[in-house]
Amino acid sequence: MAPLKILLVDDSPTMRRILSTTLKHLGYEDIGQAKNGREALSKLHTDGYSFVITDWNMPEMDGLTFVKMMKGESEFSSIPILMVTTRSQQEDVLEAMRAGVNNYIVKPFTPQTLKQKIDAILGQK
Amino acid sequence: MTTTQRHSDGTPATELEDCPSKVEHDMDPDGLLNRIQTLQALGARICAEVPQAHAELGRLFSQELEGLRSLTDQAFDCLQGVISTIREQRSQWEIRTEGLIARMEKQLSQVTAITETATHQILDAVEKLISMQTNTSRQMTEILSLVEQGTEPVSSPRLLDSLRGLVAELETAQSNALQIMDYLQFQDIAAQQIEQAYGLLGETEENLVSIALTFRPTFQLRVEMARRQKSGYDVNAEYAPAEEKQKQIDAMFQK
Repeated sequence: MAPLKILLVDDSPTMRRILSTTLKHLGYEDIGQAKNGREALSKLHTDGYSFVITDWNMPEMDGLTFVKMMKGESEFSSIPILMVTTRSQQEDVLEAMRAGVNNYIVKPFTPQTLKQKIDAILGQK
Repeated sequence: MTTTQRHSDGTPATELEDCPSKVEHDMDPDGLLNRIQTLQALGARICAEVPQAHAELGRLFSQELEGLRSLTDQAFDCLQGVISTIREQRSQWEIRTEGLIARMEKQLSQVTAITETATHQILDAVEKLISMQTNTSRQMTEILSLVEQGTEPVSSPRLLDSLRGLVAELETAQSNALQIMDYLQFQDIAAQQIEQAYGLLGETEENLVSIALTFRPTFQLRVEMARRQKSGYDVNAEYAPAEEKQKQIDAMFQK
């Protein structure tokens, strides 16, 4: 199986770094970053990724819009998406599920939770 | 035969001017004379009284006008006082408002910048620590493996136990270092709360500007907030253990 190429989408440099460091520790070395949904869409086109971890609240294009747009493009619709956000309201989670998110983590999260969710998504495939 | 009455210059007399000559035909001269005398007397009386009435009216008007002018002056003085107070308060308010919003904006920016810098400094340290622990753990595991395989001549069971203990401790330390990552997420959550405060300040600013515009339509509040790029944030963002929330969400995904 080809190693995962993960795209991290978060407007917070701190969160991008925390996620990146944790993922590297978990053994994922090929990691790209984007500040918002718009930049992420552009990077999907130019760099190609096999897994996406995205925040919800971001300027310019939020995570939910990004997920919907990503799922609307046939070449990206099968890429798994893990949403990592502070939003924990039931309706938010349902909305994310309907948009096509494969799994969902509430901040603050532990490295173990991140690993479990990635494994769960990869196990679904 | 009727003749048209004319003035001395030959122009025809008007209908009204014509009237006494018609009356003249209907009344006797004595009665007419009496009538004219009465009218003359009345005319003289009116002529005598008109200036008095005029004067009386003028006096009354003059008094009223004087009173009105006094009231207008008082109102004008009062308005000037009010305007002066508004001007003074407005300029003080403008200074206070501009200073207040600018200070609040600066302070919030500083809080975000400081926490972000501090978080990244801690992250630097944590990453170094994790890297060192990973390298040491790998080396220790190699040594342990060589000893256990008997490649290297170490026969002391106590030494083997010590090595195993060290490897276990290093793994625990590494796990602890990673745990710091959880705590550092407070910065992102605090930043979102600060973004929310920015949002509230922006609303306050809009309200202040609208109030200011009622005072002076050309008023412009000098604030940088309106030009500041609005960032995304969650209004419910809080730094609190998320295990319970995560369990509920996991249950939704398992359905």
